[in-house]
Amino acid sequence: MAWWGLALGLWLGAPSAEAGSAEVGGYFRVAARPDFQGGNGRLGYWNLYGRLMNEGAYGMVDLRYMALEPATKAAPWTSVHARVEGGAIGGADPSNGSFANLRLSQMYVRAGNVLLPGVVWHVGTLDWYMGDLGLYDFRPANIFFESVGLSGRVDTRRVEAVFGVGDAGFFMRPGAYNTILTPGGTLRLRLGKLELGGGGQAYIEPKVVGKRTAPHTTPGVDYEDLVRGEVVENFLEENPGFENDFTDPVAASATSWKAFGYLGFGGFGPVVWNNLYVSAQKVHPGGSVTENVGGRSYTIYTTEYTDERTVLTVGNQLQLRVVPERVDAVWAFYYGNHRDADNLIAPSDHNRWYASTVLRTQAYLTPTVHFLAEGVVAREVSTTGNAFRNHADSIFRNTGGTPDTRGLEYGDANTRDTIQGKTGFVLNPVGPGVFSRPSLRVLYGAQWSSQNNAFGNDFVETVDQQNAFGNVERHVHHLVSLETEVWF
Amino acid sequence: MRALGLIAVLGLTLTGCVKPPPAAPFPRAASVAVGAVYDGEAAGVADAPERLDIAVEGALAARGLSVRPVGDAALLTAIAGSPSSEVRLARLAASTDAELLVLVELKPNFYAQMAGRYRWSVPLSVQVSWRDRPEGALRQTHEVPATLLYYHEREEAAVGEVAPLVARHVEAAVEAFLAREGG
Repeated sequence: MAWWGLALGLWLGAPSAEAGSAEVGGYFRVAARPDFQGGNGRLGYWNLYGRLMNEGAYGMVDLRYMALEPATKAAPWTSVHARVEGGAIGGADPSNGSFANLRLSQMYVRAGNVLLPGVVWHVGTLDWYMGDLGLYDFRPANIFFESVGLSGRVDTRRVEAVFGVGDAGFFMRPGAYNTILTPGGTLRLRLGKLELGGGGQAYIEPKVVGKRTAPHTTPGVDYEDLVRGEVVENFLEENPGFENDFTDPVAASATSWKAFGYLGFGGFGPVVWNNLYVSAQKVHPGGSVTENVGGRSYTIYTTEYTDERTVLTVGNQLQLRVVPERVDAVWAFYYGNHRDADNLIAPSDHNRWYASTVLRTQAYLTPTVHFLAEGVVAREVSTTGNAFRNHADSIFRNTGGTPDTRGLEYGDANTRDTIQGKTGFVLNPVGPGVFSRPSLRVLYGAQWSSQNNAFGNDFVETVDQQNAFGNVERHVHHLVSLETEVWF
Repeated sequence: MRALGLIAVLGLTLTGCVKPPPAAPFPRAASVAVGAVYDGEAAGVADAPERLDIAVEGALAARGLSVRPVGDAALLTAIAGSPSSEVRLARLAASTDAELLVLVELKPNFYAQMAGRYRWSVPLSVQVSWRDRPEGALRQTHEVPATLLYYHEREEAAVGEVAPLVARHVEAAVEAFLAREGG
């Protein structure tokens, strides 16, 4: 890394500074979760039921090289950052720790007191967030997650402002790059024990005529045909012999945006801190899908059919010191509403709402031995028809009680209710704290779900009479976890 | 199976009644004065938070040293505001009649956002010397991490977060110093 230091030092021309040192930080979580009910080691499907026991192995190593340390507070400084992360740890994930599941997720250079005093410039990957909901591992106030570019940050006692612009084309269109400009920013005001913040970001993908990977729309597509994958088949039925003359795409532009607000307060009574987030997003339009008909592959461009998707979320997390040095608690809720005005006929992740609440308490038996208990209640509702199978034979209980081989729904319910409870002992070598790490945990978790086998599994789901493995009806899932989690 | 589970639960619960063995005393008993300061990116130089003082002084007292108070808040602030480590050590010496001096200096700086948290890096310098012979001071440096939950928790919270680690490093430095000085 020495050449980085030399190059940046020469570029910045800062004789009053000195070369610094390299440092490594990171995060790991790894668990053994033997599952005698046939699951893959997670209690439920996703973090809506709390991250605890619903997340798998994960590793992150973050390198910082202080290429130029400031000799004084006003002197220029610069640091180089690189981060490798992914859900792969040997013996603890399906890939058995394969490096193919790790990626260089962040690489950036920060520089301060250059050009403008008090501004920290950030060039490279720009991911930035305004806090998070730790119980869910959700970050509603996140900007530039997908972007590579330039940002500047001003941070004083009262105000923190981040502004920047980047390109998210490689992240959002992997393998089919097209420029997606992402200007955005955040502003946070600190008013003693109160914080107010907000921010937003736009995604601008201009029309480029002649570029295959730029946004296009194939005109005249019936949405139901698109959902069924029968656009080309029906076209050729209506236009026999037109295999070489499928509808030409029309170039289009694609735009989307996200905006969020934040309210934080705490530091009084039992309230350690409370984070409240509201976010709204217009999801960026999709690219294209392919259909194979008659041994040929046809591309259908979908910008116009995927440009009315929105997401609204509200999330809150309250950290409480119930009995100082004895019992802490964290309570959180999360609500999301996804709408897709293009799709009024088929259940999808873009047409649903969900709500969840989590309460975690941690009692300190000794400074290093703690007792943890967490309860979760969640509801997910599909707003465009059934999306969940409540029974092993739910194919026979379709809407109206009759099988529908042409139906667009799935299963026999539009609602999934979930209750989870987790409890056990936590060893925290560095002392009390509900978020104290490293944390060594021995946990038992149980889930009840209205959905059959509502956890990752390899069960054979077909009810075909040729199914040699049979079907399982199960709504309660148990799991024991031996796990550890650490930031360092 | 249930019996095993019950035994495990009872065993872990009863650890609440288990007291750790007392720490072995240092090879020599002495009186000690501790000065701890941090130099924050935005906060400037300040006296270390009480959490760090308690951790460090508690660790030294547990090893048999007699901790002497340094003085009032104004004096602590004056020590913190000194232009160099040498001056801080001299002011600390002038403020106490303890035999042994321990100067802890921390320089917390923001590292990166990391998996929902805010990671700070806290370079640490520990100096140990006899009050009447500051030229023979032992100096050790370390770098310890602090991962904070909230962004408003800044330098002071980062220093408080690493208090147990700092206390361990101070213990080790005092032990090394006393060993070097022949107990």
